[in-house]
Amino acid sequence: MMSEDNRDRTPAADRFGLDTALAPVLSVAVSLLGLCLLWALAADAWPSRAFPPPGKVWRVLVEETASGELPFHLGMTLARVAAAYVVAMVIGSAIGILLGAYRRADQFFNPWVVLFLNIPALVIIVLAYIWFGLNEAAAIGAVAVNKIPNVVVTMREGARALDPRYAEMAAVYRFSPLDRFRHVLLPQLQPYLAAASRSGIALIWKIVLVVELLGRSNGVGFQIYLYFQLFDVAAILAYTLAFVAVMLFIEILAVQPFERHATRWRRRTA
Amino acid sequence: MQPVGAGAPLRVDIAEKTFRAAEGATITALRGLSFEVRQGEFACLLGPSGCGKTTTLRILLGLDKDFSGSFQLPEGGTDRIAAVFQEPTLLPWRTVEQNVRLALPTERRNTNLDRLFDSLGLSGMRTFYPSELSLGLARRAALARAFATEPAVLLLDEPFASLDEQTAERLRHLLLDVWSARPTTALMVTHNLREALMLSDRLIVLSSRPGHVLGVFDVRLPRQYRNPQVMSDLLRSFHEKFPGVR
Repeated sequence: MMSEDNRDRTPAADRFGLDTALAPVLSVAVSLLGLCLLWALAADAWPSRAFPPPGKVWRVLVEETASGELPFHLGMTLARVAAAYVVAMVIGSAIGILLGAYRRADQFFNPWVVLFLNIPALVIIVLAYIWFGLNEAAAIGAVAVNKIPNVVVTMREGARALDPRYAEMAAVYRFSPLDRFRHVLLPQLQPYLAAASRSGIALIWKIVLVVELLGRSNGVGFQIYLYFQLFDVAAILAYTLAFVAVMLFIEILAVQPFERHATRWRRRTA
Repeated sequence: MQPVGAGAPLRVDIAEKTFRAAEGATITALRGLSFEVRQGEFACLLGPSGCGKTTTLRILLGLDKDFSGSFQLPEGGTDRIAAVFQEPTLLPWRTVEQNVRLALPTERRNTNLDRLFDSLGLSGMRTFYPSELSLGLARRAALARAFATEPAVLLLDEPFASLDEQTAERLRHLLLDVWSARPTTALMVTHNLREALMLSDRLIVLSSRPGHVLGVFDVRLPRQYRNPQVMSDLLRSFHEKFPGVR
């Protein structure tokens, strides 16, 4: 799609487009290739079962994918990440906006937020499993509860930064509640939502692995625990890298285009 | 739509409006402010800066409810109120056209706005975002939004402030054109006497703080006869009546 756009442009614009679109991709590729090379050299210099070379990890990755094991566990983990992310963003945003809008409520609940921010993820997970049993809801809930305080803090900042002039304009012109939400509130909160999402995804997938390790019988976390007991470092790295790659693709193919669309009005200036 | 001209006037009777500062100090912005704007009349609220003109508009817009007294808005037509704020206050993330349509009630969202955009010279700008407009064009878009709602009363808060005189003059004529096409009860805040004499049927002159009405100056002459000669006559008779007011 991007290359098609470029084809239609004038040569000058084309070069500009290549500079902005391809240069970062190229530099990322070169940088990752350098890391792989360093890894291969190091594995060659200190050969050990606990430090496999990249080629071995790649072979395990291919085998596990072919057997269907890796896609299944990857899918389970992704589903949990997605569910926990949605729950955390919705609940965290709602609480954050309310606290940002009402100073009294904020004064009362701020200590709660600080408390939850500082409870270790492990404690929440263990308590969730004890109280609610070793089930999917407890697992996803525990991950969401870990993330919610961060979302609250970010969205509270966003709600404090809301411009009252837009709210007044919406009141004078009798915007419906839905219109206010869609056209006045959400666009103003968009940068904060983006920030909360970014840090959220990264944090959530790490916690999901712990949740899977402690109380689930599938998912990347469960597999990593399995291969830890087998002392199979190549498989551990294969699963980790596969998941990181998937997250990277989500970032490039979904998050970034969406952000470009959401901020289109900001980039085009006369 | 109900014919324009029927219905009640805009009646304002504010006993007192006080602001409390954070340290407990109080400032009385308005005291005993009462005036009336007849149906379909264009009135200007004229006064020195800080005399509570904007505060009055905010009260009428329902944005400030902490005052003593009462007011009555004209009824009829869409029964709506429209405002042109000091800043254009367009949603930066929506195009000019979306900004205008969002202000309309849902059942009129798809109404034809070609003539309105045309008359304000905005036809080519409908898909532009506000950040791509000059201040003058953004003000026109704000005017388009106000007129598109076909309000029962139109409140304008120094809509031509911080524009160069040439642009402001062109905008004043545009405002008159759109307003004449559908005369709406209008109240405009300004501290520009010449502008007020050119645009309005009635000037309501406010004192300095706490603001109250010093007097009313009616301009009965139709606007098309207000040439430079007539304007200087109007200015002279205004100064005779209100010697202290610039």
